[in-house]
Parts: sequence; structure tokens; C-alpha cells
Amino acid sequence: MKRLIFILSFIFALQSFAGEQLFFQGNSEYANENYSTAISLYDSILTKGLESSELYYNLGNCHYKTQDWANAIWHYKKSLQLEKKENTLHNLELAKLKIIDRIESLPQLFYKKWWNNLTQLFGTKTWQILTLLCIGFVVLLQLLNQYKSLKNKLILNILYPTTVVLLFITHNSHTQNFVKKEGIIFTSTVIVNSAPSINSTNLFSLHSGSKVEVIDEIGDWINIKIANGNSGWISQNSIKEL
Amino acid sequence: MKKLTLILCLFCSALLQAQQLKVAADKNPAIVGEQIVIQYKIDTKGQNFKSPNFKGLKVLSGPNPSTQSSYSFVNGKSQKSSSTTYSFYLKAVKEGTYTISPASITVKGKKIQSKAYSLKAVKGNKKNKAQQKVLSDNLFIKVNVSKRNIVVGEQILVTYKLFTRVDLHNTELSSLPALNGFWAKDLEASSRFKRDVVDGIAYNVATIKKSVLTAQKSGELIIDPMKLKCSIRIQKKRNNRDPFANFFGGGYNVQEEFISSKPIIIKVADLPNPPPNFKGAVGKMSIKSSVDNTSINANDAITYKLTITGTGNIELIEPLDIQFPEDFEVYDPKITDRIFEGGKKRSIKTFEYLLIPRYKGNYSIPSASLVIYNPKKKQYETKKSSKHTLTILASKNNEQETGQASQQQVRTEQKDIHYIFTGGNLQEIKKRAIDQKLFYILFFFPICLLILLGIYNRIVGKTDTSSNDWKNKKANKIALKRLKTAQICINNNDFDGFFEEIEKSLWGYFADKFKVASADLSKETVSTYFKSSAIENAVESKFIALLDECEFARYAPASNKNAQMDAVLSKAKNIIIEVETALK
Repeated sequence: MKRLIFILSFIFALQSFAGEQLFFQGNSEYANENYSTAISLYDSILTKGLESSELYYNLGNCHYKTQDWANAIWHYKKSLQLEKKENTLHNLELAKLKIIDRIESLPQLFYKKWWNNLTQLFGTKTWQILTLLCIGFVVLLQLLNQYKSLKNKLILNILYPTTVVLLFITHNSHTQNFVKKEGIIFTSTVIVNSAPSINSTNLFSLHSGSKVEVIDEIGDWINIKIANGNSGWISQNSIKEL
Repeated sequence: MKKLTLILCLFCSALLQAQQLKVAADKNPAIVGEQIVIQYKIDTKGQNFKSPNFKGLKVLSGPNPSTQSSYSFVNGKSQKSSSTTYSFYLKAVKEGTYTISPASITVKGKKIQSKAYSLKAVKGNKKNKAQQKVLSDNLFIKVNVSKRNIVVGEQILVTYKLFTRVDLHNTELSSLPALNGFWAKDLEASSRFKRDVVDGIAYNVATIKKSVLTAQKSGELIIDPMKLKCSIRIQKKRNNRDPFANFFGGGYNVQEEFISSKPIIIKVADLPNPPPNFKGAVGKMSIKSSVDNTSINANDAITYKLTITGTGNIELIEPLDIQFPEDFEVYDPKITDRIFEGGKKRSIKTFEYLLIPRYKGNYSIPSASLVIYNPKKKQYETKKSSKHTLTILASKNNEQETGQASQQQVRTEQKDIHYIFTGGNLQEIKKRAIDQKLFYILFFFPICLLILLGIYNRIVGKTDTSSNDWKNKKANKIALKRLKTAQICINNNDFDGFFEEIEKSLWGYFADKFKVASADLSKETVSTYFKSSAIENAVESKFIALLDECEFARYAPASNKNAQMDAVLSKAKNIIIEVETALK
């Protein structure tokens, strides 16, 4: 058993080493402005089953340089899912300026904004671990309290509400990162229909690079919603889900 | 009377005569293909002339109005007359009889109509045709185009030449060629006639028009024909009977002819894969830059001159993008050009920038680049000007160059994306979160455990001493509440009041606890109630002892009052706690 674990971990280490090699090769190709070669190198890392926010970021940059804005945005978004970085946000903003659609997002109430910012402070996993640690502490202290009266109950009094808040944050973070499906439009022009059929009324059109939220799916059709609150149906193959 | 009538009639007829619109043709019957002039004449001034309908006849020109007025003074009588003639130049294409509908004109508010005119056109005899042929051989416009297959932005030189072997009296441009899709620039053309021999025949040749055309769009562009009205002088046949006329060379007939050039099709191709920084310069050019001074003081002016020389559509070149240093104040360039033959000959265009450096230091102006399509080589060329390095010295005027006032914020313009990350830990895909179900199980499991434990304690742990802790606490609270006023008495050193208070509290507590009426309160009832509630005897005796002590203390003054008070208070507290615990 030990040996098996050792071998498995060795294989993984080997693979990640190979991945790193590819990553550095990609970097040098990028430096030489051979963007398409860099893309294929980076992509081969992804096919090995490895990823990192930096990898997605670099891929986004390559696509940006080859003026493939939709792909660039998709990769930047992917990178942001793993880790929030200043550079990624900056580049994403620039890439968004290049696409055709300029969707004004609905203004959010200040507390909602704060709440979202708080949620996005860490990844879902971090929040989950934090919450579990908190509840562990609470239970531990409570048990201690039953057998030996605690003199200082301040910690418990703080921990109770913290745990509740953390639970909400974790839930929110999970919905935002895993339940809520988002996608980037990859076809150059998509007509958004009012119902999932070609004969239905055309509501508006979207162009490649725009971000949509997937609300529902029926067969090949998906119900999408854009940042300004409009929604409609488009065919599934016109977007690439994040 | 008869005479008068006659005179009046004559007068009227004269009046009528004056207000007639007369129509006349210069020849009737006319010959097919020949030019016919039809004139409408009225002897007064008229307005609002309406052209007739020349069915089947080709109108070459017209209506061409001309007004004549004369003033005569005969035998002391002055006479004024004026007439207006509207002439049409027509051409019959086919033989036959043509009816020209009446024309109309308004004179003094009255509409006057001409008669309908019938014109006969006959086939010309051979001689006439030959004459026509001779004319077209002897008088024609030839269009010269330097190139017929070009690309967008390329220039061609178009020359219109009039070849003639006849005696030209006058020429007049009737319609200018429309140049759709071209940017045209007319060049100076000398209309003086020169002798030129074509195929052994000598012609008088004049360049009527010369222009440089720059193709603006792709496709087949047509240069429309140019129409020219020529007046030809034809010598009259010698009249043997008139020696004077023979002597002076005889008279001339002036014949008017319309000639036009042939339309020309120019094929304009699109530029092959233009590079992104290509701005439409086509031709053969070179670029040069110069700076009048490479080392000056801050706040003094430098002139940066960019010169483009060569052939092509130089005139259409816009100012180039030059990345001047951020600390330079740059003014819009002064553009001067000397274009020869619209760029067909070597021309020059200069952009003169006025720069004012604001801070001292070493700066460099990068080279300006211009992408040109060379139609001869059929490829794009990038021409670069030279790079200039400038040394700016401190300002002479001692302005606060580095002072607070002129301090400059570092400008960060969002122009390009950040560079790639060169490192980073690769990890396996899909390990981004604990499964939400598992998370909830992990979260609620300890809570459930805690709740279960609590329930278990409720049911099983009544006898458990450890679980009695909180009951003690409650008893303690009750005791403290009861003895609150007694505590106040201690603080006030009220000795008598204290013991009274303690007694009262104890009785009160007992009465409340066992629901005894205040009238029944006695030491006997205490023992009976205590016994019925299965309270130990020790507690009962302590309770009664304390009551006794209080009673005693109230009447027997003690030496150390304070110590006694404290002791009694703690005793009372204990007894209440003990009763409370025993009752639970």
C-alpha cells in the first residue's frame, strides 16, 4: 500500500514537473511573440490535467495578443476563479474594452456589493475549511463547558455568530462558484430569442466575448441572462461554459 | 369709317404679328445624322419658355436663349425692338417625318404658343456620309490613360487631346467627364495647338484637359466621356460673279459639331492584405526626419521636421503617429507640400512639429515609420525616419523646474496588458472545494452530537452531581436576591435592622417556597414542611438555629457586630442554597 502511494505520488510529481517544463517553454515562446505556439504548449498542460491561475492568465494573454478576445476573456475568468489577482483583473478590463458588446451591469446596493466582495475574498474551499474549524471550536468549547464551567465565555459568544456568518458566506461562495453557471459567447453574433425555438421573436443580439449567466437548459437551448438583467434563449453551442 | 376699321385691323394684325412665337429650322428636310438647328423666336421679351417635345429626335444642346435688342431712330421717330431666340441643336437618328409639339412662352402674363412643326429627315447621300466620316476623322478627342489596371490609391494621369485637321473657329466644353470613385486633381493644360503627325497625317493637337486621378475604391471605374462643342468654319464655294468676295477669300459658313470622347474603364484592384499600420500610401516614397537643435534648454522650442519625398498619392498622406516623449509639449504640425503633377512627379510633403521640452534630461524621439505599397514591386515597404537623441539642459529662466508647483504625477496609461506570470504552482484540475454535501455533513454532525449529548444529559444525568452545578447557581441567585436588603444594612452598619431583615428574609423565603400563609409561620410548621419535602434534619436544625440566633442578636448586643453580621449573612446564604438544592 505504501509503495503504491509512493509510486502514485512519484508519477504525479513527474507529471507536474513535465507540466512545469511545458509552462516555461510556453513562457519563452510568448517572449518571442510566437503566441500560437505558446497557446498550444499551455493547452497541452491543461490536457495533462494540470492547471493554475497563472496558466490561465498566460493563456488569456496569448489569446489577447492574437486578438481572440472571447478566448482571452474566458481564460482570464478561469484564472480569476482560481485566484484573484490584480494583473488578471487589469487585463480582463482591457480585453472587455475590445469586444463589441458593452453591457451596463445593474447597480448593486452597497451592502450587496460588500457581501459579494467579502465572499470573493477567498475561494470556496478556504471558506469551507474556516467554517468547519469554527464549528469544531464551538463544539469543543461547548463540551468543555458541560463538564467544567468556563469562566470566560467571551470566546463562545464571539464564535457562535461568527460560525453562522461563515456558514452563509460559504453557502454564497459555493453557489457563486459552483452552482451558478456562467459562459462566454464564442460565436461572432448570436441572436437571443424569446423562447427556445428558432421561430420565436428575436429579442437582441450578442457578440463574441460577452459574459452570460446560464439559468436554465432545455435540450440544445439555454436560457441566459446578461448583466443588465435581460434574458433570453440561445443555442448551447454558441457559448463556452466557465 | 371703313378706313378706320381697316387701319384698326391692320394695327391689330401688326400687334398679333409681334406676339407670335415663330419656329424655324435651318434645313428641312434634314439629313439623318446631320445637325439641325431649330429656333423659336419672339419679338418681345418673354418668360417661362417651355421646350417642345422632340419625339424621336436627339437633342444635342438647348434650349440656348439669346436676346437681341435694337434701337433705331428714323426720321425723328425712335423705335425700339428686342427679340429672344431659343435655339435647339438636334440630330435625327432615323429617317422619317417628325412632328415637334408646340413650344410656349409667357409674355406679359399671356401664354403664347408656337405652331407645331413638322420636320422631315431623309437618308443622306453617299457624299454626305463620307463628309460625316471625314469630319470624324478630322476632328476627335483622344483620351490617354497612363495605366488601366491599378490598385486602390494608385494614381493615373489622364490627358484629353483634341486632334483636328479642320479650321476650328471655337471650342466649348459641353460636359465634363464625371469621375466617380476617383480623387481628381486637374493639372495645367496648355490649349495651344501644336502640330503632331499620326500615321503620316499631320494634325493640330491641343491638350484640353490633364488630370491626375487617384482611385478611391476598388472595382471597374468608368471615366465618362467628355463632350465638346466645336464651331467649324467652312469656306463658301467660290462665287464667280462676285469678284470682291473672291478677292477677300470669300465668306465662311460656321458649322457647329458636337464631339465626345470614348468612355474608359479602369480596373481598380484591392490592395493585397494590407498590414495593420498601413494608412493608404501608395507609390514610391522615402521619409526623412530632422531636428533643428539637439541640445537646448528646457522651455525652448525645437522644430522636428518630417519630410516625405517621392511619387504617389503623397498629397493624401496624413500626419504620422510619432511617439514624442511625454514631457514634451507637442503642437499640431504645420503641413506644407509641393506637389508636382499631382504626385506623378517627385513631390515633397513636410510636417513641421513644434516641440517644447519642459524638463531637463536626455530624451529620444523614436523613428517615424510609414508603410507604403509599391505598385511596381507589388509589395509593402516600411520606410523609417532616423531616430533623434536630444539633450535638454536646465531651463534658463530659472523657472521652478523641479519645484513643487511643476511636479508631475507619474502617468500610467492603460494601454497594454500586463506581462505573463513566469511561475506558479500547477495543481490537478478539480480540487477546488469540498463537496457541498460533505461540507454540510461535516458542519452539522458536531452540532447534532452536541444536541444529542444535551438530551442525554437531561434524561440520564439528574442524579449526576456534575449536572447539578447549574442548579446550585440558581439557588445561589435566589439567596442573593433574598438577602439583598440585608446586604444594604451591612453597608449602612444598621445592626438591628440587619437581623430583622435576615429574619424577615428567611421567613419570607420559607413562606414563598412552601406556600405557607404568614399567619401559620412558626418553628413547628418549618419542621413539618421540611420533613414533608424530605429535607434532611441537619438543614432544618440549621435553619431554626439561624432564626434563633437572629432573634437573640437583636436583643443581646454583641462585641464584634460587623464580624457577626458577616457570619450570619453567609450562614443565611448557605441555608437558602441548601434548601434550594434539597428541593430540586
